[in-house]
Amino acid sequence: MTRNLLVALVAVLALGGGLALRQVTAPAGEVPPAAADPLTAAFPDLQGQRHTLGEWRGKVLVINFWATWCPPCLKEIPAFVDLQRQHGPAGLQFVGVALDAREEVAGFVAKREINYPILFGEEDVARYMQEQGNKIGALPFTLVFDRSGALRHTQQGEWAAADAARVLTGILAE
Amino acid sequence: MVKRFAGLNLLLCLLALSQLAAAGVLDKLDRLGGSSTQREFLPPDEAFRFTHEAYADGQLPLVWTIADGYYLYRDKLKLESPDGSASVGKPELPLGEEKNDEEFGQVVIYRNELRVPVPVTPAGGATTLNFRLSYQGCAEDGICYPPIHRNFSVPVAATTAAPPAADAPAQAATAPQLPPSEEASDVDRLSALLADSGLAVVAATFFGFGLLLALTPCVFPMVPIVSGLVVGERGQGGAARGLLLSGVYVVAMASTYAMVGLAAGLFGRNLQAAFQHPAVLIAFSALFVALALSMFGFYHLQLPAGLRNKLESSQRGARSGSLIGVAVMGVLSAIIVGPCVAPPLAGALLYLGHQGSPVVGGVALFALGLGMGVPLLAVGASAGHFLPRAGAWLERVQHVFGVISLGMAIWFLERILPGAVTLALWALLLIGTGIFLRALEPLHEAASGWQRLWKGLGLTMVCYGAVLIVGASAGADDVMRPLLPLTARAEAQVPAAKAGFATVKSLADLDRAVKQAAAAGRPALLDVYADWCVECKRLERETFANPAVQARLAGFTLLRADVTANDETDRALLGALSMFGPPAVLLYDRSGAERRAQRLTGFVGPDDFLQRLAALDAP
Repeated sequence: MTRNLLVALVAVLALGGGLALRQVTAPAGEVPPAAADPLTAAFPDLQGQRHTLGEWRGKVLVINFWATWCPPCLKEIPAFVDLQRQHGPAGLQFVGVALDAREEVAGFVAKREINYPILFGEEDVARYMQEQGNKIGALPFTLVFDRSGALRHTQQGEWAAADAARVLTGILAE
Repeated sequence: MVKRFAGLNLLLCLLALSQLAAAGVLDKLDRLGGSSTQREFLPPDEAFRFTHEAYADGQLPLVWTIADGYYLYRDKLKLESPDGSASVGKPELPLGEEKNDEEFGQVVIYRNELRVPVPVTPAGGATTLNFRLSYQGCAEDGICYPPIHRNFSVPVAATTAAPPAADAPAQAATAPQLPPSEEASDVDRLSALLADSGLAVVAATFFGFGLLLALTPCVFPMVPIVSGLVVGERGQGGAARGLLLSGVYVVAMASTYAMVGLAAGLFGRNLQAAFQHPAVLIAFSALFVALALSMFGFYHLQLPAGLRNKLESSQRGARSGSLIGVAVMGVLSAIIVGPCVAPPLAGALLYLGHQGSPVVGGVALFALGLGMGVPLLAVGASAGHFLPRAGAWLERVQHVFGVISLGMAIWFLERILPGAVTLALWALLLIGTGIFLRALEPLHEAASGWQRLWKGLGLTMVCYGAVLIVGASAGADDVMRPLLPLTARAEAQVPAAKAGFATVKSLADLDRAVKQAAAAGRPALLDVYADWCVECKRLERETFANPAVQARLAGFTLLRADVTANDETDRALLGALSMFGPPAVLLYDRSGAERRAQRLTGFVGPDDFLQRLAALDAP
């Protein structure tokens, strides 16, 4: 019996040692920097007025990063418009952040009926996405924060309308 | 004592776990099992690998290697010289592929390999040309990358020093004068050898080839299978019966080859591909599983009771039934094992196709089949002779055959199942076998040396099986290197090997691609490939993925003809290349002429392959 305990102890120590070694040998770059509250970031709207994402704190906030040169982004926008119309009264707030030049964004928004705020930016938007875990910088990229401002869902790539509805109604119902 | 062993087993397993933890394997497994159902996308520089060739003749060729499932937009490619050190002309954009985009309408995109020569003139006195390149692309699965901007410089000295590209015209002039008949390839030599000999000599030659082929790892597994049939029929007739059954099998197999030879003489087509249909493969695989189960003694392979009763009433009926079964197996095995004896068979079929005589074709391949069957006959006869009537020893031999049969079943399915699934099946087989070898049961103190040896072997199998499961869940598909996806460096290598090939379908595609390569002064390589061709996959895995080969092939335009479908276009291509099926590797020199001497049919290892490539540089 004692012998078995000894064996088990050595085994657990070995496992712990392996995990510790992993920590030590892990490249420093993999450790995410202690990010600031993601909702403190601010971007301008088309009128040039800066908005802090924290403005919408208290709602279920969906930040959708898109661009006019990105077909899958444009494809999912109508679904977001529908969701905003349906669940807006229940406290859902979409905010579109375009990784694009102002005139491109203005031209697109003028042609479409988008019922939620659109902000834009270039380098700063790219950097912000990177901080939020979009390592490859590709679009579309969507973040969902709950009413307390905690990040609840990260979507890289197109978000199917049905999936989006399911995730968002779930968080809204809390 | 028993307890101590149990404890040691536990210790060993946890030690193994700690090693895996250190290697970061647990993290990766964690990620795999995570709740996220989103797929991982490549970083932009891996999705679109950019490089440029040397500036020569006023042209700067820009080259992208685009990963599978990713594409670049034609109208987003832009090269400028911001500091005016060069004037940039109109890029020679290839035609590309039309894509109907819901938002943008008809757009032109590029996949796989993209090469864009851009006319560039240095501004007076500039020694370094500075460029800014922009391009943008997306992934098929619904993401787009922001426009990528890249700054790079090209020294003008490269214009006058003019490395390989400038030599190309000189080579192009000399290459066609090479007497191609003097440098005969494997296949050519074989058909030359056969071209002026009589029918008897042809038959004898093919018999000899068959004998040699039987010793290749592809045909050899058939030996235990036939033996299995014979052993399964034990007590029914001994050596004579064994010889008869093996004989029937061999003659059936040889007849099948004979018919292929006949058909090759008549039509000169690749018939085997038609028999690589998933249904055939699944049926054959199921047959092996059934055989294996009977070897393990789960049941005795026999006809349903009702039918058996009828047949038992006449003994001759039962006997002829099993003979027909053996014959059918012979026929099927000839067809399915065919592709892995591709090189000699290709040579034979090329010869027979050229000969245009169905008789010669039939006789030659019948002799080949007989030659391949000689070892089977020998084993069939001796198995009936040497094997005892019953006993534990015989049972163990049957079990070994059973395991081999299961292995064969998996091997057949490898062509149609995803790699990770086959890997899991191999793991199942290994662990199951290990358990049957009592790997996890404690040894008695009085255990004999043999028992200890078996347990050791069994434990090894169980451990390797466990490694295979880890590999399979990480998406590995190579039984010999199951942890490949988990070792970061290898991870970068393998997709590169795959992404490097541009696909050609028709003969016109091939001509265009080879001409394009020749225009750029690049040698080209054509890999003739099919999904159902195991040797092709081995070639890709072991030879093309080899770092030395990769380095050597860096200057090549890599082309791949995927003949999986074996449709009209594929057959036309194979016919035009005087070829009967994959795998084959064709090399084109800088002038765009194929070097027949270096043509490869069948699998070659990295070392041999490098030698062939070296021969390509010789004038």
